[in-house]
Amino acid sequence: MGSLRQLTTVEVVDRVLGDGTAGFGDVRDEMIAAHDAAWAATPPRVLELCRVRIAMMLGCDAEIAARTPDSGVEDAVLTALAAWPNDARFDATDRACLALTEHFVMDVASLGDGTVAAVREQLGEDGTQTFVTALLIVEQRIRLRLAWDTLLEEN
Amino acid sequence: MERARRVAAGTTTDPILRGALNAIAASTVRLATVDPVTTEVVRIRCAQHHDCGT
Repeated sequence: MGSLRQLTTVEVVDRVLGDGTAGFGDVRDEMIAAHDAAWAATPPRVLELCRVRIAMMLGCDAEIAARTPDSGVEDAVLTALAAWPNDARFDATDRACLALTEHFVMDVASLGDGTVAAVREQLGEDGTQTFVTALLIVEQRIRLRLAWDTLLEEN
Repeated sequence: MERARRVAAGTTTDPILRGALNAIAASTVRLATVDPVTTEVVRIRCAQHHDCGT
């Protein structure tokens, strides 16, 4: 398989799941469709901030370095992402969503009502449910990529 | 554990996103390279991690 760490996540998905000849083609296609749907359904600025924050927390260098086209987030803002609680460049929506994201990554089962309510105030009921669904897809994609990086590196 | 509802009854996920999530779950379940016992152990462990009672 060779080293995957230098590849983008799109390239890793293609490398591992291939073109369907190994029987994983439908999984590859559904992964791509789910990823595309997550970005189409969620404010791209919010999801980009949360994607990079997840990558920082999980130590996924490729996703930290990656940039989603047309997300509307300046590079300097992403570089300052760890300072989101106090940095004025992050607004109330950013902060509510990043707080939920951090808790989601660390211990999703103990996510507090107040953390969810803060997102609901910003995104509404449907928006919150859609955001959490998109977050799940983005987080699982990064975790899967990290697992492949480790497990398949020497094969 | 009983939880209070965090979004109102009738709240919906974006339908295309919901469909895509269901589709990826279905495509994963259709895979046959991992034996059923391991698959079920992993599924239950994930449900515990997410505090998912269903």
